[in-house]
Amino acid sequence: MSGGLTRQCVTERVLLVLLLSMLAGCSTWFAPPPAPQPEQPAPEPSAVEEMPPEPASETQASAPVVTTPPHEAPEPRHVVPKPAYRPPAKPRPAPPPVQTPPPAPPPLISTRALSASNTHGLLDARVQRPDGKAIGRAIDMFVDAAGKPREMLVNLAGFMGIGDRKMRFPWTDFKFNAAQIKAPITLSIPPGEPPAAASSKPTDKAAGKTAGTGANDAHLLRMIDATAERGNGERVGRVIDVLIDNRGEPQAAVVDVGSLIHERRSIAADWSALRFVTKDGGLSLQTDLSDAQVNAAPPYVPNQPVRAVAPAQASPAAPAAPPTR
Amino acid sequence: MANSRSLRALDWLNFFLANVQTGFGPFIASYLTANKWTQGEIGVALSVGTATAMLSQVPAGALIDALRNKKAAGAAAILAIAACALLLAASPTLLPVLAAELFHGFASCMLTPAIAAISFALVGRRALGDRLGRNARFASIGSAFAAAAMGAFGEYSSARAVFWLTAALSVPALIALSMIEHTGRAAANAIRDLGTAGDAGSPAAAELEPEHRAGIGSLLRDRRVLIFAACIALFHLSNAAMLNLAAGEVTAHMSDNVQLVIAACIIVPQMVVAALSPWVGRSAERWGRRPLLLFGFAALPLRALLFAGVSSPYLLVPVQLLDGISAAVFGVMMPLIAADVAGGKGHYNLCIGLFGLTAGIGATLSTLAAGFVSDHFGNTVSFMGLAAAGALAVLLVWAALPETRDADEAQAPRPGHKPSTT
Repeated sequence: MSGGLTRQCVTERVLLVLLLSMLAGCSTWFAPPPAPQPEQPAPEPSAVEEMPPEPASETQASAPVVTTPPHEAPEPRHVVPKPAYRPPAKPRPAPPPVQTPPPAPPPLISTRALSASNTHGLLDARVQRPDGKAIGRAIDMFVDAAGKPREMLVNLAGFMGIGDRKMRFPWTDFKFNAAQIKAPITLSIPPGEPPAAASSKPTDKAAGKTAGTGANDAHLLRMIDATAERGNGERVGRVIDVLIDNRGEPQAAVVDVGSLIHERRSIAADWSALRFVTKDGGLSLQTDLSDAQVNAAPPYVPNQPVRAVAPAQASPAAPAAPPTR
Repeated sequence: MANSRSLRALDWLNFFLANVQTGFGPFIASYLTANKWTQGEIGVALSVGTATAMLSQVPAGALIDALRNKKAAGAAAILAIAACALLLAASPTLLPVLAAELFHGFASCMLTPAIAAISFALVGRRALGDRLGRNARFASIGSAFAAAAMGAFGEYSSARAVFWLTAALSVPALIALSMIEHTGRAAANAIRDLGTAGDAGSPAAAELEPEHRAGIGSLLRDRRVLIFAACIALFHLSNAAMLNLAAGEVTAHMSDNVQLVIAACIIVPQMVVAALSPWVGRSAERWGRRPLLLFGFAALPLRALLFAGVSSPYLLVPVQLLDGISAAVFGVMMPLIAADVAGGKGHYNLCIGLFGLTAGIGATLSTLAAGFVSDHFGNTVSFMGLAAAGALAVLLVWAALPETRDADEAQAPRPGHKPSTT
């Protein structure tokens, strides 16, 4: 008899669970669209401190009591060709990088941790108006020969894919905040103004509408889908994303270095490891990362801590300045 | 009566299939963008889909002609499309998406002829106009519903949810399909007339129509087929890019209510199609095809000109009423004229495939050309170009397309010309 009783209980409970899960499902489906995230993480480093603690950071945490502006400071670290994967160190205010003596085997690459709260991928980042209304997603950026971003290509969303319109906007009109995961990029348009008003081409010229036209101005390079080559023309890989920090400076390019179909492997190439050279009347992307360096680089995994890779020698000098080159 | 039950099931089949097909199409690009695909990769995937869809139009039509069991073919196509939706939802990475695009391209090419063939088999040649009107009505109600439901789904849940919903909606489509019985009058007639073998390639049919065994060659030598195919290509050259271009203007130049206006621009013509299609089907049988085609095609250049001239985005919505008119006429006329010119020869579905191919070519060229022109010369010029293509289509119908109904009416009483599609 008791067996029957429990069975009944079980079915009741199952029903209850089903009901609850249905309700939960309803709330996920029919909840109002997420508000434009009122809470702004405090810009102090304590926001970052919530990441799982790690021994490496403890040792360094004692040092940087110096209060430099709380943006990410480069942290050169030298890695031997086969690096054991380490959780990333956190960015923290630090005095200008002190050159640590490299370990016994000469380092092949140097890596630099990029914090999740300060950098985010450009591709697919939602772009919103200042009042929090989403207008579309970032799909590409244009850089000049100095490696400075000039324009962003945004896909303004229509409805169900109909009426999507790609439009270029001046890079300086954007504000970046990686901590706002829902909409990390804000385009400053006055309220009530249509997006076209802020476009870099005030005419109806929607750039690259047919996706294949490429950069129609010769002095700008479309980063995403650009092929990264070495100086001798060897192919390294294809850029599939760019990591931007909160001041709008590109920090690294995510390069797909895998072969065509199997083994999709990508690395985050430090912006300082990229060069923009004029070739055949257009701008093209070059990097000095050798095959061995590419193989030694830690893989880039979306939504995981990122370490940007640069050739060993170039790194310590370059990242101190904004990555102009 | 079983027949009326089948007809009602066919209504619902059209309704749910429109639901299933809505998620594919322009939405895939947004979906892939939302999954970190670069523009280059999206371009590749969409080109694969377009190319497959074009290449498989004619073979899929021929396959439907050759298959005895249209229902099974339709069911296979629906299952394949559901599998594609699941694949897209489960894993938006390169290989699954390419596979899904390939399979969807072929399956959707089978679906249109399969439905037309089932309708043909159920109601026969005489009532086909009515039936196609009804099909179009339910299909457009279905896609209006789907656009609304999936839009809400995509907004409040995720882009991925749209594909789960798509796959789920194939279940009622399959149920509706299974409720259709092949006991229609035409089917029975055809079986009696043609003896044991019902198909065109069979000895019985060949005996009655020896000159038509040449297959696609005879179809391609038919002047009516060629002229109407050209009309279709021009129609889509004018039509395909128009809404997207106009809606892109809305996106770029409106600050609020963008989604609302575009959704209205999609749903309004569907409502017009739903209201108008049965009338189009009936009138086509009464007045002939030409006047209706002229009427429907003429709405096209008019709409392009209005788009070019309209200033307020809100005015696009009433202009979209014209889209409904031309879509209703086209949706009914395409399979109907195919039945006129090829229905008696056992190449009905091949002919639909052929028309589908020209439509695809026109649509692809339209998107490319309109995008290029609006990039370089502005949208007004682009709309003018689309209007010109539309006007050319009207002119071609008016000047060259012969009436296809009369020829068929004369032939209809002869049993040999009864639908051999069954």
